[in-house]
Amino acid sequence: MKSKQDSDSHGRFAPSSAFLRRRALRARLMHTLLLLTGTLSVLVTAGIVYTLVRDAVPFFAEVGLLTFLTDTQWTPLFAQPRYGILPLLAGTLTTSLIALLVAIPAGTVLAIYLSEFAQRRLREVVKPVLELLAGVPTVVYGYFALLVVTPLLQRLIPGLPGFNMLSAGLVMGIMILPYVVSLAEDAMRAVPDALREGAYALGFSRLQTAVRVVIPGAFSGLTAAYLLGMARAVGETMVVAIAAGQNPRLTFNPLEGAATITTYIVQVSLGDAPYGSLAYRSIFAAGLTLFVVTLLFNILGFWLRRRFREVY
Amino acid sequence: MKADAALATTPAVRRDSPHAEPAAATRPVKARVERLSFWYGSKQALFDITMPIHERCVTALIGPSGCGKSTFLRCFNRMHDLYPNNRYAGHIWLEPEGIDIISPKTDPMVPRLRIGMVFQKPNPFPKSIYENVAAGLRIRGVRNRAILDEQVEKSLRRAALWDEVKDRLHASAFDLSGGQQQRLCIARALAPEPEVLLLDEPTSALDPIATAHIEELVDELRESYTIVIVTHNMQQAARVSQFTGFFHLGKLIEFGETEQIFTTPRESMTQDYITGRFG
Ligand SMILES: Nc1ncnc2c1ncn2[C@@H]1O[C@H](COP(=O)(O)OP(=O)(O)O)[C@@H](O)[C@H]1O
Ligand SMILES: [Mg+2]
Repeated sequence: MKSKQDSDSHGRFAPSSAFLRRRALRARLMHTLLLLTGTLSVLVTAGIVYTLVRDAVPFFAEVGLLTFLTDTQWTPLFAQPRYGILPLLAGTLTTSLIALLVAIPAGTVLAIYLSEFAQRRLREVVKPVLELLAGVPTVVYGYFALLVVTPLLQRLIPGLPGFNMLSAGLVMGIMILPYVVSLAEDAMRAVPDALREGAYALGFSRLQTAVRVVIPGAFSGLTAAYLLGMARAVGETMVVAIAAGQNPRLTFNPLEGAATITTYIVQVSLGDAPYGSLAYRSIFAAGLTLFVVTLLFNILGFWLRRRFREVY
Repeated sequence: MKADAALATTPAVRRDSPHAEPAAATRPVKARVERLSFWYGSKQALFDITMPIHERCVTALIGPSGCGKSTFLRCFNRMHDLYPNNRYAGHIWLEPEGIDIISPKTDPMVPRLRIGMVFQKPNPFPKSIYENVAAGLRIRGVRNRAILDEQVEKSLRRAALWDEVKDRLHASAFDLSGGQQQRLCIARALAPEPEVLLLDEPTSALDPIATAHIEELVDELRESYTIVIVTHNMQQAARVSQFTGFFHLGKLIEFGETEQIFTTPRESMTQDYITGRFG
């Protein structure tokens, strides 16, 4: 029989040392596995950045970073090529901004409706439909912009050119809308009911509860939804290439056509810029710019989330 | 007819006790619950409950966990309307107008604007401390900064939180500890000065000192408010309430003056519960 002190220090269900060793081994194994997957995703990202930087560096060595950032012309395929990213950046930002002006308000309102007003049955129908819409190939949206939306806009705005950023931006907004709605609705659903109950008990109406309690409560999820929408708009290629034209032009006027960074990248990739040429390398400089723009927005989102964090 | 006669049956008042207030049971009634039943879907949670809520008194609801105390309390501000398939039967008359709170014809906003509630778990809004307390006033249309400031301070003082937060009113409510958050929720409920205050185990997340503060507060508030408090702490019920209802399995087993319930309960089940023999 064990002494009293013995049973006190170990207890009736004290695990055997073999059990503890196995448990420690399992924990180490899991740890290693997680570390590996984590490392892998970091490596992939690093690989992408490396690919971009490898060809961008000789480009910048030749053109100069200052010229790249300040020159107002982008004409790599001309006899006298100019490499100023501003026209492409303006095209990207203008079309993305229009898209966000559509997708953020409409997406938020729809998400509020679905999350706070709609019956559960309606929500169960609408959500899958939205996800289906998000799966429509972007080239379809591109031709929808060019062949349906642009002619409609031309009736409203006489003299609107066939290629314009307004039409491309609007359709891009519609395209990322399901995305934004779905993510924003998830964020609002994640706000605990206890918070809604507190609001209703205080005499808030449904709308007041949604606007004054649920939205602030879902802030970080909403920021993430908007940022992902933004990232999709900035990186979108087909819609802008088809509907906004391919002519790099430094303008923020949505009624004009202009090329975006992505438009330029496909245009040159599809053409016959010789491997290793400056025109070829300019693709990577443009790609790197896109990467930096997205990164900046993500940092902004990270900062906003930290600033307005909510904890339950 | 509103079952006045049935409700007015006064339990024997022990005038010699220091606890019983003279003629407490003859105080005016703020709300009368009449044959209230409630269902979560097909599951009946409350059975045919009839009891008065006396004006400017504290009514305690006691009973074992799961007996329907919270369910009962949440009928008063129609919280059950927020979820589908919930059903009420009977009446809760809110006096003096005699509005039937749970009638489908009554806009749930009417009782909610007159009846405040504090929940078991603190649920501050994702806003600053100040804005949490001001929220109820703002949605009632109060814009005047001076009135808001004054009412926020007064409510925070009453909830025994002012000294701890007066220097950081604009910090997030989430920076407070659990106990502080609960007192903030009490301040939030007090700020619009509701006629009735519903408290669902408001001190279950608080330490003994904060609990004592809240109990003092409840005692003080009964000067001007009608309070219904759910508690699983019988000493608390005995300390703060004038009337007590004992619930068991969705039924109101016994209702009476607190003094009587705790000294000479009429039902053996009440006796068993308060002496700790079950529950
Ligand atoms: N949302 C709900 N749906 C179904 N049943 C519920 C729900 N909430 C509570 N109940 C049931 O109703 C009964 C009363 O619960 P509750 O009012 O929370 O009791 P108490 O507050 O006295 O502990 C319990 O049997 C509980 O399981
Ligand atoms: Mg409860």
